[in-house]
Order: sequence, then C-alpha cells, then structure tokens
Amino acid sequence: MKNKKIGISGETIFLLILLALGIYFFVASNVQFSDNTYKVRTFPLVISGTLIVLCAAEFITGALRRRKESRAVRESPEAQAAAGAGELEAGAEEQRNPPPEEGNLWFGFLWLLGVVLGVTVLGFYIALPAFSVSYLRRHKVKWVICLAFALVILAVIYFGFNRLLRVRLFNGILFGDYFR
Amino acid sequence: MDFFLEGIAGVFQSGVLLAILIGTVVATFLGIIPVLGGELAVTLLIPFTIGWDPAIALALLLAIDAVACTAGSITSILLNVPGTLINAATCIDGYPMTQKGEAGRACGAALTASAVGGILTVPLALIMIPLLRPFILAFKSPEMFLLIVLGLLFLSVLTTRGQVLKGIISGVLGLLLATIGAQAETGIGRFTFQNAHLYDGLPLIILVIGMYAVPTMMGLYASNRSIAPVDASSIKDKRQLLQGAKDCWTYKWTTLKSMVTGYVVGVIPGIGAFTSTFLTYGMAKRSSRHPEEFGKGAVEGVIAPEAANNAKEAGGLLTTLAFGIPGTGTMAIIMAALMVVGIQPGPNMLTQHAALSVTMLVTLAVANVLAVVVLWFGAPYLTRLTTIRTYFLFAAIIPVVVLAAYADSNMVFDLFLILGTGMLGTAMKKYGYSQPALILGFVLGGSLEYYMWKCLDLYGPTFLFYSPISTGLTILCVVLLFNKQLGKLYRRIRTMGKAV
Repeated sequence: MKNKKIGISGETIFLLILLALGIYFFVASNVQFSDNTYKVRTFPLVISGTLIVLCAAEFITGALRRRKESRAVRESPEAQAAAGAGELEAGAEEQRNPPPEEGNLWFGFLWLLGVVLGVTVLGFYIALPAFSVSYLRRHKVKWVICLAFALVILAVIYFGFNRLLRVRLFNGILFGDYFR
Repeated sequence: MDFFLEGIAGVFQSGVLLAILIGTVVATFLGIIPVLGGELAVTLLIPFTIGWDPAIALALLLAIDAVACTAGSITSILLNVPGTLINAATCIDGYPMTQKGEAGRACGAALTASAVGGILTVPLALIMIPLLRPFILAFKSPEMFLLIVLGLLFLSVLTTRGQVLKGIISGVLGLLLATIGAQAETGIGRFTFQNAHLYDGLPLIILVIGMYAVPTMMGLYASNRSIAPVDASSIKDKRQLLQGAKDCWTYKWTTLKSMVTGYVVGVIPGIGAFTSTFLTYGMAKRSSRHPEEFGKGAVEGVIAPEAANNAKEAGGLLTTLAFGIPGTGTMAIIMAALMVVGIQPGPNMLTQHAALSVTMLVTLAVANVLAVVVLWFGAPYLTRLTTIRTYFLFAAIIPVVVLAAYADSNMVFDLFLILGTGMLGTAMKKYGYSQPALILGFVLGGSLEYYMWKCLDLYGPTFLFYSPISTGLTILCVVLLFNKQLGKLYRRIRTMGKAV
C-alpha cells in the first residue's frame, strides 16, 4: 500500500528503518567501544556492515525491478492492457473479499499498548480482565458474557499463575509496586 | 544386563507410571498454551520435588519436558502460535495446511512423527552409550564453530522463493540483535542503553513471542473472522488423522533422517533443540521433490521438525547423564533437578545409577506414547479454537501472551519489549521477510561470536582445518554455500567428458 502523499511504500519505509538500525549499530560500535578491546566491537561492526550492504542491495534491486516493470507496462500495449485487466480483476476481487485493512493491523497495537500500560499502572489483576471486558464490549458482546469471560481470565491469573505456578505477579505502580 | 531389566521394570512401578501420566496431562495443557511450554513448568516444579523418590520426581519432570513440544505442535498447526519455542518451525507449513482445510492431516503427521522421534531414539540412546564418549570428546571449539556456521547456511533455505535477499537480511538482523548484552569473553555490555536487564541480552522468549504470537494476533485483529473458515472441522476427520500418519510412512526417509539429525543435535552439547528443527526443515526442503510447496502447506515440512524435536530429548538426556553436559537448554534444568534430588550426573551416573539412567530414558518413550494417545483423541476438540470468532481469541490470547512473557523473567520491562519485537515481527511478516531466519540468526549469533574468538585465540586462523572432523565440516560448508555453482561445474565437466 503506497502512501499517497509522499509516494513511498510501507515496504520501503521498513527497509529504510532496517538500514538506519544497521547504521546505528555500525556507528555505535565504533564510537561507544573505541576504548575497548577489538573483540567487543569487531563482531557487531562486521554484522552491521553486512546488514547495511544487504539493505542497500535490496533497495537498489527493488528500485530497478519496479522501474523495469513500469517501463515494460509503458512500452508494450499488451502489457498495458494486461495491467488494466489485472487492476480491474483485482478491484473486483477486493470488492468480493475485502483484505484486512493496514490501518486495522496497526490499530491492534494500540490495544496491546493499552494492556501493557494498564498492567504497568494497575497490575495484572485489574488490567487484564478490564482489557477483556472493554475489548469484547467494543464488539457488542453481551455484558453477561463479557463479565463471565473476565472472571475466567481472573481465575486463570490467580489460580493458574499465582497459586499453581507461583509467579509473583506485578500489582501496578498505582498500588505501590516498583517498575522493574 | 541386570541394570537394563531393573531400569525398564522401574518405569512400570505404580508411582512412576502415575507421575508420567500426570506429567503428560500437565504438559499437554501447558504445551497448548502459546509459548508457555514445559521449561517453565519444570523449573517451577523442581522445588516441590525435593524429598521425593528420584525415579518418581524425575519421571514427572521428564514427562513434562518430553511431551510439551508434542502438544505445542497442535497450536502451531491450528493457530500459527508455537506452543513452545521449538515448535516455531512447525508453523511454517502446519498453519498453511490448516488454512487449506488439512488441519487433521497436519496434526496426524505431527503426532506420528513426534511418536516415532520420541520412541525410536530411546533404544538408540541405550545402544549408543558405550560408543558415544570418544565422539563427544572429539568435538572441540573449531567443530562447534563449524556446526553453527552449518546451521547459518540453512538461512537461505528458510526463505520463500524470490525473497532470498530478504531472508538473508532477516538472518543478519537476528545476528545483530544477538550482539545486544554482555560480550561473552570480556563481559562488556553492548547496546544495553544502561539497562541492567538487557545486560543478559534480548530474551529469546520475548523475541519468539514478538515474531510469531503478536503478528498472528494482529492478523486476527485485522481479519475479524475465524482462523480457518474453510474447513476447520477437518481435524475431527479420523481419515485425515490417519492420512497424516500414513504420510510419515510415505516420507519415511524424511522422518528417519530428521529423527537421527534431531538425536545427533541433541547429543552434541550447545547446539540447541531450536537448531535441530530448522536444520531438519531445511534438509527436508532441500531433498524434497516439491521444494516449491514448502511454506505453502507441505506435509514434509511438518514431519521433519516434529520428528526432530522429540528425537533430541533422548540424545540430550544421554549426554546430560553420561557426561554431565546438558545437550539442550531444558536438559540444563533437568541436570539441576538431578542435583536437587541428590544425584550427580556424569560418567559415574552410568555405573552407580545405571538402572535409574535406563528408567529415565524409557520414561521418555512411555511419555511420548501417552502424549500421542491423549492428543490423538483430545486434539479434535481443540479445533473449536479455530471456529470461534477472532475477537474472543484476541481477548483470551493477548492476556496469556502477556502473562507468558512476564512469567519468564518477572519483569514488566519485557512487556514493552514485546511491543517492539511484535511491531518488528508484524512488519517482517507483512513485507515478506523471514521470521524463522531472524530467530535462527539470533539463537546462533552469541555462540558464533564466542566460538570464533575462542578458536582464533586457541588455534589461530587455521582452526578450520584443525582436525579431520573440522576439515570435513569446512568442506561441507563450502559445498553447501556453492552447491549451485558446483552443480553447474559438475554438469559442465560431465558434458565435456561425454563430448570427448
């Protein structure tokens, strides 16, 4: 899916993030460990250098591939017709089976972020059942089922993890537990 | 000979059998809960087994350890969420089979391959005891380094057709992430941002949850339908289960090869169970007549890792008992359990506690038989997981995933790491990068660096040719790396020969 405003695909943005990650590790290996023995910096330096080269290669081959494809479409009337037919077919297919929206996919992370922040502030015993109730209510599930679901989650947390597996569960910053 | 009979009889005592049964049932449930696995249960149960009869305590712990990976294959196949870490390779083809409406066949193949791997390797381990010692002692740092390199060479095999460069990028990214934390030799922390928790490195369990569980959950969130709407009930079809079992016979050489490879990887300390599953997957793809079907629901892609992950238990236990060297990660915990119940593993184990050693090995076989029986009849009911609406699954699994991530280290910080690794995994899945390649790179990265420096320090730059074994492994690595070019060269020489 292309970003219509700036014309860069999500795939390219992800590749650029990987490239930036490689550059960060490469620079940090040189700068942070310049006083340490070569053993500390050599391995990350070699690996991050390799990652930079590979990302650049993927970037170039991807750009060349796209250019070749668009040139082929421009130059050949058959390819243009085929591309047009393909687009029509794809449009019809999308109408029949709409694919998961990209926005939806990343919106799920907001729920996960909510759970993580909830656990940090309120602890597991409140945050997880609260997440279940609010998430199911958003999908218009009946209150009774939501509450029963939350009770099951609470029972699993308490009896399964706390009592049986003896995991010391986090109680939340609000209730005096320290972030660790 | 007496200790063999005594050891086998020891398994059939009522207390030991009951412990195996309880362990099998517990592991079946724990294995099905995503990424929780048997390792955590074994670790947490050790304190409760102090003062028990060693045979009963060890039977319980070994049954949990041995069976969790069998149960974990079910969620890998049905939900694309590995029940335990080592089931990750099963997801690659197991889940596509579910999407094709062949969940029953995949489960049947996985259970049969697990049973074959778990049962047939036990006599192998018993026979191998006297032969093993010189082989293990011959493996020094150069051989270990080359075995890791061999594992990394399978990175390209773990990628989909036409995405080789992305697969290699994923593997290299895994290697890079493995550099986070203390450098093994100097102890100097790298890329930790002054965070004491990251000093031990990025937790493997967090990375696996981020790579597999989170992208699956986000996919479910976005799709808002059931996971396998086409034919989720196929697992209830006994014919499909039997077809899966038959597939193990059809691909008997893949099954046996994977079993032996898993066993050997289990025997050799430090390689890890994780490697064995991806290694055998790569081998199965390489030797298959239809490699293009791998990743799209090839039954061989389920058989190979499942035969290997159960086979490695007998090999790992043998090394742990005979040499006091844990062959796999979970065997380190079993070794700790042995010490807690008052038994010192090592060469004396096979003389002073020979019968108990046999009992422990046979326990693995019995637990595997029980696990297959429990899952063969119980697995069909798990298909309900695939037919319920995704918002119920999302609401149920996200709390379990969060709890599993927390339970590993009791750190809330890990939950934030889940967010980061989950976003990385989701983006990788979306844009065609290889998550298994990243995991393999991450798992092998630390050991690769450690053995590289050790070899250079001890043997100098010629360590690749230090011994006949290392020379053989070096040649094997070169052949694997340049197999296409060597194949072309061979064909050219042959045609030239024919022309002459």
